[in-house]
Amino acid sequence: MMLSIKNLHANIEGKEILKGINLEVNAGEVHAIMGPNGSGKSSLASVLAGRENYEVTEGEVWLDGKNLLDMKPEERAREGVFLAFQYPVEIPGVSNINFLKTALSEIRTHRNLPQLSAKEFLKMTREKQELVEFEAKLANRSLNQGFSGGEKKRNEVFQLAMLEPKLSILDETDSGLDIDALRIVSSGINKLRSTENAFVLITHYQRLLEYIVPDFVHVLYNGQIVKSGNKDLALELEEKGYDWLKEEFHGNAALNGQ
Amino acid sequence: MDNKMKKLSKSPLYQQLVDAYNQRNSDGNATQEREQAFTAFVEKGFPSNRDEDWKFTNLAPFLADEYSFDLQQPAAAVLENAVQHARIPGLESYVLVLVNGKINGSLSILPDASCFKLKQLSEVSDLNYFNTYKSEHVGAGNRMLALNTALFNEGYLLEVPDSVIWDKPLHIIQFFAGEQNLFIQNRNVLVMGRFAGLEVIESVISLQNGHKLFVNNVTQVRVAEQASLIQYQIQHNQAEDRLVNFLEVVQEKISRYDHFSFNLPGAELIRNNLEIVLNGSATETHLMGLYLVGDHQLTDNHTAIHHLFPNCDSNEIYKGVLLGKGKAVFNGKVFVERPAQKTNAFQQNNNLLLSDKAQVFAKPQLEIFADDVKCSHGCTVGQFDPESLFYLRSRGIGEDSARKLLVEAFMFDVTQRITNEPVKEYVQSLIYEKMENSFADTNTSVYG
Amino acid sequence: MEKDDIMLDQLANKEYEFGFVTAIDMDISETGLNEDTVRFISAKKNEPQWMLDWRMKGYQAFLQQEMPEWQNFKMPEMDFQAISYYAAPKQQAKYASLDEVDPELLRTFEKLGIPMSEQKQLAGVAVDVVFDSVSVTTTYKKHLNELGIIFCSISEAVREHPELVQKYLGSVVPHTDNVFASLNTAVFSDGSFVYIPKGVRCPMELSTYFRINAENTGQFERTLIIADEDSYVSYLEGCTAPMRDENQLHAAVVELIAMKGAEIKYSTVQNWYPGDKEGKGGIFNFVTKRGACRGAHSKISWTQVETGSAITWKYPSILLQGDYSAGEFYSVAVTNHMQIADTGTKMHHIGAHTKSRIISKGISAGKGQNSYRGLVQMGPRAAYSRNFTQCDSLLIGDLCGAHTFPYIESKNNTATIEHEATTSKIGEDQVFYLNQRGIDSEQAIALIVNGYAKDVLNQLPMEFAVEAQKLLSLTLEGSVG
Repeated sequence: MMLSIKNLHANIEGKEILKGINLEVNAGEVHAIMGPNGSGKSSLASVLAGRENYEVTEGEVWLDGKNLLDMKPEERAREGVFLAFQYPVEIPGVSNINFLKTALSEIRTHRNLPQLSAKEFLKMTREKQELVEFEAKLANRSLNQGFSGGEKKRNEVFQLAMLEPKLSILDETDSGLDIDALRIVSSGINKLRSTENAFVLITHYQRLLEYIVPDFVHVLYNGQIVKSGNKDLALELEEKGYDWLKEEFHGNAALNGQ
Repeated sequence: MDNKMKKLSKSPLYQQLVDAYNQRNSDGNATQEREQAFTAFVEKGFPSNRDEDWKFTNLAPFLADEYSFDLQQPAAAVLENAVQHARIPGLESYVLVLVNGKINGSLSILPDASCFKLKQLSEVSDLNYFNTYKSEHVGAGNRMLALNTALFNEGYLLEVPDSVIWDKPLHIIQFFAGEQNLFIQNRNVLVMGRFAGLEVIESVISLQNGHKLFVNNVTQVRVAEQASLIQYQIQHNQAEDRLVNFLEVVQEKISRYDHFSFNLPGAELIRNNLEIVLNGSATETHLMGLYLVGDHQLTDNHTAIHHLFPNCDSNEIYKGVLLGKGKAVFNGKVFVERPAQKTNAFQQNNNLLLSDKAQVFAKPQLEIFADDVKCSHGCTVGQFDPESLFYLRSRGIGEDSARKLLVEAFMFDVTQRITNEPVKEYVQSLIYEKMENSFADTNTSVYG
Repeated sequence: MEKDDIMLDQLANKEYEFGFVTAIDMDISETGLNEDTVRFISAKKNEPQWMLDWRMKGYQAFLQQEMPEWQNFKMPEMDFQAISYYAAPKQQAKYASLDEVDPELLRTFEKLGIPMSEQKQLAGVAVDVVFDSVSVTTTYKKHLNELGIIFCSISEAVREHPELVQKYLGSVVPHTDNVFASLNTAVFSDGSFVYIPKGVRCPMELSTYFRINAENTGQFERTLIIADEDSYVSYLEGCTAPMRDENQLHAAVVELIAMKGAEIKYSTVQNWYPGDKEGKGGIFNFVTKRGACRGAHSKISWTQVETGSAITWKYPSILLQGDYSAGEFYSVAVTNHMQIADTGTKMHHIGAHTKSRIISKGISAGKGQNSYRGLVQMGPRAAYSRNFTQCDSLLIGDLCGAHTFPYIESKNNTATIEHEATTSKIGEDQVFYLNQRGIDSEQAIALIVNGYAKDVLNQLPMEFAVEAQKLLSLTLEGSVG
């Protein structure tokens, strides 16, 4: 098993956001996590990546037998966790190339891989840019600065291709993309899928899942996974919306006397 | 309280300076200019915190030391070695070496004699020669400037004739040496003729061997019509050095002046006054500053730009990174006088406080008397953006590297404008070296 | 004449419309200032000994103070001996009802548009009126009393609520603060006092209207507002004066105290007589205003629209002492003719997680000189505190000046300060755009200026915002950049 989340609880500013998440992800799998706004989807992504303003109050997260929660954000990244941000930050003055070179070099050091020469690095950059159809000129441009919303998302997928993580968490990577951009991003991700890696797609809409077909679909509501199924669940959600789930959930809660 | 303040500003050094002036001018042949300046200094003494322009920079502890005015010629081998050490790797340049204000011809490398006029200032028979380049707009009430005017004894006069453009930059290296603590006041004059072009890199180096060095230096620059001057000031000094600089630049019409000031950790005190007078229309001015202030250091940059004529552009970016118990002062004045319509004046000052003991005092200041102008300033004081730090770390970049990247990014606005590659690399490598040492020191205390 | 010049000329000829004098029997003290003056004022007001003692301390401090020199104008000569420090309408007793008030006085207030008679009153504004030195009447008193709110003249508060006055008066602006504050301490004649008890939201705007009427008098009012824990109050202050050739001094002190969770909103529309277009006459407005956010999560907000006075010298400040406390300063200052304004704010961040926001809009026309002077200070304990400052200047015509003097000081590395300033003129393209849509230039300017000042005007309570907007348009009528 690659990722194992057991009874994960987390707070932000004293407010409980995750209320006991359980999830298991194996190599080669694609999981989709869906749910209404405010259900805790992005919080789950942030907690897995190690954002410091979240406080984990209970539970465990294991990545290939290592305790993820004990690690700093950069250690998680080096171990192979990649978060494609919903809102990638702009960092003026840090060039894309310098940034990627630094990140790749630290990750390769951690994985006991030899450093790439400048030539190899540039070659890899070119190849991966082609692979994910990301044409933006990166030299001499600051990280994400002056990028359109779509370009930022594609830059995230390009970084994913460069850093070759085990577990990729895509936080609403589809939001704000037009249909062409969505197709390009999805096809890039499909090309990167292998038996060695796994993907967790966080999304509000079923749309993305037409392009990247998930093995499992989970519904997150009120900080918990309230339903899991296969790709048909996503279609069902698309049809009926989330309201029936809310009713079901609150109905059960009422029955349980909560 | 009044008397107490006065005592502070009139240290033993004050008496020494008064005596020196009286002795030197016992024959009563001081110029009127020196007389006036001396009177201005004598009346009020050294600047104190009660002076608005010295509010956050207290000279008193630095003036309390004992100083001598006796200069000492260092051994030739020492000098040769020092020059080698001071050169910038990979930089092809001419070199002008000055030792205690005296031009050292044998260590200097200069172009063809037709390209310049160089004189020892004390040999310029007409003392008013350089006064013609002085503007009435600057230095009013600055008593360190007055003190220099009253007592300066050496310096250089460099003139680049009309239409001469140097093929290589000039590195001016000034050495100071004495056998005790040294208080030295020099004055330099740099004149760019019409259509002339030059790039200057300036270093000030103490050969004091652990003795203290207080430099109260004044440089007057004139950039004539359509001339261009790029000036790099690299202040990379020792803890015992105290540098007080006054740089006045008068620009005539359609001229361009670029100033880069790099204040690196080292000297306990750096105070730079930079006053630009735009004495003609359609000029272009760029003032770029980086100050990296280390533990127990005080770095103070006071700049002023006087827009007197229409259609002039000025652009100023000063960026500071504060470490340890460092203290930085920035004061940037922009004056736009009534005739200076269509002025574009932009000023930006950003400060990064990387230590919980560091302090910043900033005062960006606009004084506008013309209505058809575009003027703005921005000033920030703060930390790294936590979101940027997290983003970099989430890509596997360690905290130290991430912080270094962000400091580099912070300084990028200025470093990207350095057109001279060897100078850029030299300055960047100095910055990394200083950052490295400092992060090693402050790591736990700041981010623990 | 060019069209622009005609318009500028019109602007220059704009008269001050509150410049009338009210013919009322006045009780005016001899001019001059000495210990006896202080005793005279204190005796007139039947003050207790502790009050006289404090005034005397203020007087002693005044003697030792020097006139400030740091402002961006030459301090005018002020002859403190030529001023009369006490002037009051002759009828002494407090009026039981409005019918007893001198009808002449009532007519004055009507001219000023002050809602004194309760029928005409705009809903929900309780008004205290200070005429020269004396508080004339306070409306809505009974209703406020029921809530435990004290809103009365400061003289009355000294008599009726000595424990509150003694505890808080001078606790934010000490009697040694500056020469004008010391003078005020010695000779202040009246002013307003507000106390909001714990947990009470004051249901209406409280308002004071100040009027200088008598000749050769100064006005030295003192305002003290205390908002106890978790309370809220919004307070408005307006002022006018007759046209006189001599300069008259207005040296007020305002102190605000916000306890834990309390909020005070203080708005001023200052329309003192600015002098004529040659700069003759007008009010010297040297005012010390300061608030203290004493408790955690407290908030103080200053909003000012400064259109009057020959010279304005004021820096409403906030001491952010309580953790998570917040301070705001919103200002529009207009200088026309020979007017001078040197105004701004000071935000002292002392506690952790404190926040402040400064929005300053200066407008200079004629030969007016407008300076923003501000201090943002992050103390060593001000962890995670934030400031944002936006400071804009607008120049109309090429004989005026706009100046910006912000002081930014940080001693805490987790604190953030952002300061932005711009200077601009009204764009010809903006005016043209509006012209093209059928709006004449004059109206276009008014629209643009009001748009420019909108961030500040929005902070004013409704009734005041309308008045301020009118005042802005009037002051700048006909000016084209």
